[in-house]
Amino acid sequence: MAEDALFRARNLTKHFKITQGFFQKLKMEEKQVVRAVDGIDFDIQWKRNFSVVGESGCGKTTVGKLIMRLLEPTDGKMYMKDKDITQLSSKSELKAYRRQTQIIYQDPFSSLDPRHRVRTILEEPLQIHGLGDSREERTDMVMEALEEVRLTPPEKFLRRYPHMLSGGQKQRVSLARAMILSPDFIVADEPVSMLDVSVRAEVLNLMKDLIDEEDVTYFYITHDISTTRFFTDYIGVMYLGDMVEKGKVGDVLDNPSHPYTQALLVAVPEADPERVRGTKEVPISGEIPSGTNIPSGCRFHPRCPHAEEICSKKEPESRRVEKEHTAKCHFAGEIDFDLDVAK
Amino acid sequence: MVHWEDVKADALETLGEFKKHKIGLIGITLITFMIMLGLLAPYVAPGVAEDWDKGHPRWQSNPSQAPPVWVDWITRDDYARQETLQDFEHNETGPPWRETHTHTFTYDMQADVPPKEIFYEFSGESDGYDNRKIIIERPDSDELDGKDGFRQSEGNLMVLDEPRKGSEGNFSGTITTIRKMEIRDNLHEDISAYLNSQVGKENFSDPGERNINPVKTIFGKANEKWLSDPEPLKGKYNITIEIEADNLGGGEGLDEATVEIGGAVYGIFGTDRDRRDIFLGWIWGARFGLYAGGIVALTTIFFSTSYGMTSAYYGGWVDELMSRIHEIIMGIPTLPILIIVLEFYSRSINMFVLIYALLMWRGAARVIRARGLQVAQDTYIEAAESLGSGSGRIIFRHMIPQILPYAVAQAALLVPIVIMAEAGLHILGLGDPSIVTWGTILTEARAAKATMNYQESWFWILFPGLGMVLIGFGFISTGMAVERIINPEMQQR
Ligand SMILES: Nc1ncnc2c1ncn2[C@@H]1O[C@H](COP(=O)(O)OP(=O)(O)O)[C@@H](O)[C@H]1O
Ligand SMILES: [Mg+2]
Repeated sequence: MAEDALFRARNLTKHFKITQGFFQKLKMEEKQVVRAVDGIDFDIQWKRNFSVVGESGCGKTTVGKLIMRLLEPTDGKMYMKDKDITQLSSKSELKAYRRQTQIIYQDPFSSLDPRHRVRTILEEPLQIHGLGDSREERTDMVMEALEEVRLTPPEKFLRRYPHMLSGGQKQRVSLARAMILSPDFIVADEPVSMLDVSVRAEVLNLMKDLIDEEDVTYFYITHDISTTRFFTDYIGVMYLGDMVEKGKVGDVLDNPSHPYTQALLVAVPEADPERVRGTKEVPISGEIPSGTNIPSGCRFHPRCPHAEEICSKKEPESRRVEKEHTAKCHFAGEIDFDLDVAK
Repeated sequence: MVHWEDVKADALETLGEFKKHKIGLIGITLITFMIMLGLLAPYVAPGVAEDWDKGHPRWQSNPSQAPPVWVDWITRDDYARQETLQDFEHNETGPPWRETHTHTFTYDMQADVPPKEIFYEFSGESDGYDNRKIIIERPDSDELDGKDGFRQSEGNLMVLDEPRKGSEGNFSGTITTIRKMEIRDNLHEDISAYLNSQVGKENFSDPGERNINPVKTIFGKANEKWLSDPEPLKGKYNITIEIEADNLGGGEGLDEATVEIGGAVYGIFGTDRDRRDIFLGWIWGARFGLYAGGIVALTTIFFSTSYGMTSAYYGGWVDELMSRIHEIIMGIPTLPILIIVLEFYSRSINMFVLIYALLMWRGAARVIRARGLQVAQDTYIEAAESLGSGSGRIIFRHMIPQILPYAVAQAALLVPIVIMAEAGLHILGLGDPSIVTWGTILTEARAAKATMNYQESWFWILFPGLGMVLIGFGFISTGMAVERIINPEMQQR
């Protein structure tokens, strides 16, 4: 598996120290730590798109930012094409890495500079990386990128400001901005969750088309499990900073082996690419514990309907359920989970 | 990369935004107008800043405390205008070693409000001269001549003496004099004697009354109100300058002989007590005020943006340290520093500007830092970083354009504050004495108690005050419009 991996993460960890006020520091109060990402492993292969699902606050965005090297990991390693990207020796190496890896943000309203026109926005990555010899050439590249994301005719969009675009159009511009550098790997952090339900499918379809047109691999972050089957091959389910279950999308969705995955699936009975649904409440009881105070043993046990004594004492190992399908549950593969957990 | 057509479109768009904020548009127009006046000051009023001292020859033939010219247009009364009389009739009598030269000018007075003053100017060379006189023949001189109570006045009603006798034996040189006409000491005695004989009472027995305006008397009707509140006497006045001198040179005895009639109204904004044209001082006031305010505003934009951006972009301990330093410098009191430096070091306007430039950015910096912290959190900043931008690009291409309008709005509000502060310094006696600002004019007006007899000198206070109000309104409304354009949520409030 690792040989032809595009991207690998090992024991990837990010703990945030909660910022303290000046006086708290003076009083030497103990720092609180949010364990946003708590030692996760995953492999992503060329053109095998990877979904990460989980409730909001479970650490998905943090993983995305770690991948982008926008955050410094507390621990762990990441490899891009076998190069250790946590050990980049110079700024230019980081810059080169960023040319290969791009990100699309969740919020189209704040991810485009409101004072720049579409042309300037799309020209910026070219300028940063010294692509295109002349302004005309760059403008041609910008127009091409606009066409790729189906913003046609491109001339019509060049001079627009972000506030003159709809949410879906903004997200297409974001996509174009990421694509214009021809990256290998794109982190898409809930790219449609803030769009109108009516345009979500369009944008997802476009992203899917670009997989082959542009030769990219997505790291697709979502809290909407129903969209994962649509264009990803692998899935990782995150709960409270840990990746509790992962495997091929089909395997995980058809044969969920962690009670949390199970609960997520109850919220969405069927994954239908054409009729993407809005967010549903996860039908499990209890508050989501905070990252500052992660439960002992299995971190899901306080909310788990199947929890037994061992679950609060011992942290479960990753158990293989099928080939390429693992779950971090003491009873993974042993218990046939009841589909009506909600009751 | 700058696309010029985009820049043009942006400028037009911003202007379009301004159009939505009428008050901002008015503000911008006002500011532009004031700036233009300020820029034009050296052409419209060359040298005025240097010549603003009391008694500078430049102002000597202006009327004192004359209202603006346009008062004539808006009131029904006809006001006498400033006028130079150049045509005269020359006569010469007596032996050549003791010539008597007369120069007679004719002034046709048809105004309801007569001239405020009469000036004469003559220059010439002689081996010595004894006497100069001014004789004024009024339209009613013939009627009055020889009437009871009047002394023999060489056939004319009034003989106005130049009291100084210039002769010092053999004087030789240029005689140049400009002076307000002084009335002969006993003229009022004549007039009150005449009035008494007409009315038959001793009502006008105070010849020594000195606050009677001699020029008003000259142009006043010979009735019972002559001395107290004269009515204008319209008609032709002959003004004769008589010089008795030895061997007066020049073709007609004098190189130069003019009579200047000081208007009852003068200039666009009138004149002050020392005859200075308030408008000419005022445009220099606009220039110096905008200069001081503008420099302070620009440095404020620079300092507060640099400070706020550094603090907000680097965050963490840098921000913390800078915030502590900011708190400390926030504690430096402006006024005492200003007073000490100006009092003991230099009162130059540049010193004032320097102190304000060094101190005024502090308030704005706080706003800019807060805004910078917000902007730094915006996703597009992170997006730029993930595209590979360095900090320079992030700061200059993404953050500054967001923050600059806030700095501009803050700085715009400072301009009137600086101008008022400068005016305040003049009142404290700490203003720059070598220039003229609105503060200079106002302080002089205050010293002359212009506020107390405002009917006579309202224009002296009104225009410098109005200048400050307009500048204040202009910059504050512009600043507010900028704030609303950059911050549309504020419009709802
Ligand atoms: N910069 C930060 N400082 C402190 N805590 C953070 C920071 N970013 C994220 N967190 C915390 O980390 C956890 C995971 O956040 P995030 O990765 O945004 O979750 P998700 O994207 O799954 O909703 C949350 O509890 C969040 O409060
Ligand atoms: Mg998120």
